[in-house]
Amino acid sequence: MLIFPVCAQNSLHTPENIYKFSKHLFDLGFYDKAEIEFNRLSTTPSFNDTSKFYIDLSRIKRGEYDSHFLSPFRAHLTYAIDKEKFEAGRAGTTVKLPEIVNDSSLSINYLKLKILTDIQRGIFDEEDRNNIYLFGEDGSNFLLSNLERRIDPKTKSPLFTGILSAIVPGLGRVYTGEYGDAAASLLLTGIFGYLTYSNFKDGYMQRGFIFGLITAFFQGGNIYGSIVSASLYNQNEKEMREKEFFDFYYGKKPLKPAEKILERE
Amino acid sequence: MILRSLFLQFLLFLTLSKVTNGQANDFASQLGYADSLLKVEKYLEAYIEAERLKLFDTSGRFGFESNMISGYALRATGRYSEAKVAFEMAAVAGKNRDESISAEQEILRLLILERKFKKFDDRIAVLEKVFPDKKSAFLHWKGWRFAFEGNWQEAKHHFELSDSSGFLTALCDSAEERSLSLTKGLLLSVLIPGAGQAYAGEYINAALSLGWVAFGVYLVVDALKAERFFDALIEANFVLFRFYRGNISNTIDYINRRNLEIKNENLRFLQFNYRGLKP
Amino acid sequence: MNRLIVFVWLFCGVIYGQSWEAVRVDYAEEIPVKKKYYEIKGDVPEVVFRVLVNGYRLFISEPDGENCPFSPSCSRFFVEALGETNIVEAVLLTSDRLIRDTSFDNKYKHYHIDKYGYLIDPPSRYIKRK
Repeated sequence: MLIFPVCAQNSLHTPENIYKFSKHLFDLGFYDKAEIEFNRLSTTPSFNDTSKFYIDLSRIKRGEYDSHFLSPFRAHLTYAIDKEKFEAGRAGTTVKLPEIVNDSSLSINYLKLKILTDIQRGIFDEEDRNNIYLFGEDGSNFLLSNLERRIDPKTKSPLFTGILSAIVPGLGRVYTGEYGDAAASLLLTGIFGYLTYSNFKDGYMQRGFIFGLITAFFQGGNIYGSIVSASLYNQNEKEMREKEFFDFYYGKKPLKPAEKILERE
Repeated sequence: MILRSLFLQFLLFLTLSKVTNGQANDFASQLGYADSLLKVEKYLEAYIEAERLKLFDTSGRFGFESNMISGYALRATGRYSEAKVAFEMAAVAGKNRDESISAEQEILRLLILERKFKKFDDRIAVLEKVFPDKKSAFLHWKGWRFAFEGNWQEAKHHFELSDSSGFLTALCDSAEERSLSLTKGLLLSVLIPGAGQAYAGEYINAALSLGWVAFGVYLVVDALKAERFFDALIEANFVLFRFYRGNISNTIDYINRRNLEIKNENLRFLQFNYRGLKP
Repeated sequence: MNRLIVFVWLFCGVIYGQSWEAVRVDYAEEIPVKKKYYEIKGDVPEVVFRVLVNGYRLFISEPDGENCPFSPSCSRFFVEALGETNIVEAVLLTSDRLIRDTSFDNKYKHYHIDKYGYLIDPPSRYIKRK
């Protein structure tokens, strides 16, 4: 009697290899396909809690936060959801630490996520203060300075800027740091202002009137533009603060992904 | 006992050979599956199945084929940068020169489509040294590169050298004849404001340019006559020089636009009518 | 045997959700959009306005050449500003735009760039949201 060692099934599609490939797809970012591949294991013994966890995680990665969880690792999945929301730039995400008994990697990462989301909302409570050391010295210093900029931002007053520009064309823009625009304001208003004065003085009324209109046009633009430049300055400060915050986050990668935390455990 | 042992060893021998051959057959089947998905234009699925093969084909025996399928799927869906990476991996995994050169040609086609002419030139310079026997093919692709750039003279020269069809060289001739000369247009504009635009066929703009420059000259002369030198300077800057510069920049813009229209016409014609090798 | 396996997989294999759409290759290069003129329609004030803007475009903007680094162009900037706010604010914004156009600063530091290389500068950037 001969044994047929070769199964009808292709060796690439054995449960072990499907599992391996599914994880590979997940790592490549094909979450939709990874979920489908993991689901192929549903009738095999390889359909364990870890496979179910990856299916749940694939749905979370695709933005499906409300789906019913298949796996029992709820704390890890809740962490993954909160992390995704934070990374999606949803300012105001509130993170509530779950009841985790052991001092695990998940607890530490959850704590760090809470600190990051609190800082993003301009909050810094006792728990955050006690645990900011988790980011290291450089990280802590950066986060604290970013927090300070949120609580006490450096703003420029649009009214004051407008008044400065009304007195001396372009001065308001110097105050907001727009030196090129300031020079252009001064130049245009100055040149046409001089031409107006000069033509009126020499009796060229028509030319004087035309140059006068042009001067008024540019002076109006100079004052209005200065007021607007102060508002833009304040807006840019806010955007720069957010950009630096996320540059820090994506550069230092202080949070571990949920699947890596689970693998360690 | 000995016979039984020998029989079991014989079975084991059969088993092992069937397993190793079975695995190779499995990879070939997987490759066939990925290829069939590509043929029915299921590009993402073809890419996924090619990835599956690549993950398990640790020996790299099917490296060329699997990377080529990935490359074709990525190319068909407009993911040119990733397609280039896939074709580069195919070129490295090629089991012989023909396989490597076919992967390299796919990369050249992509560089032409993306209009990355500098990268194309650098790459082909290296390929010409590595594959000196494929000079004719490279000349053909160089011809396409110049055609995509709109340099019909160079395109014709390379098509002629590569013995490409007379169809291509005739088309290059016709495109070159119809194209406008930027040098001639600029010279006309510099000497007579508006003449360059008229050469490009924009007659209204030509008349307006001439009118504005004339008006600017009148303002400046009028101011100088009244000995208002500062006024003359400002009027020269904001009227005369502004519209004179505008006349030149419009000439450049109109001629480039016209030549771009001619280029697009010819390229579209080639895309849908030329049956030979093309990007 | 291989054909059988492929057949079985095609019909009994996984059902794929996401897919990649084929992209149509076009050898032609995109030509930058030319300045457009407004259609002369609407009530009397609107028609007058559109004629004035078209007149500005034809007689001043076109012969002036492509020397504005911004998108939208100054005339379109004025029209868009007028649509979002009142005439006084639109005039002031346009004046400010002309001043910034004359600026000696490295403009590329302060603005995002569109696919044609123009600096993106819509009036909505400056008009306060009420």
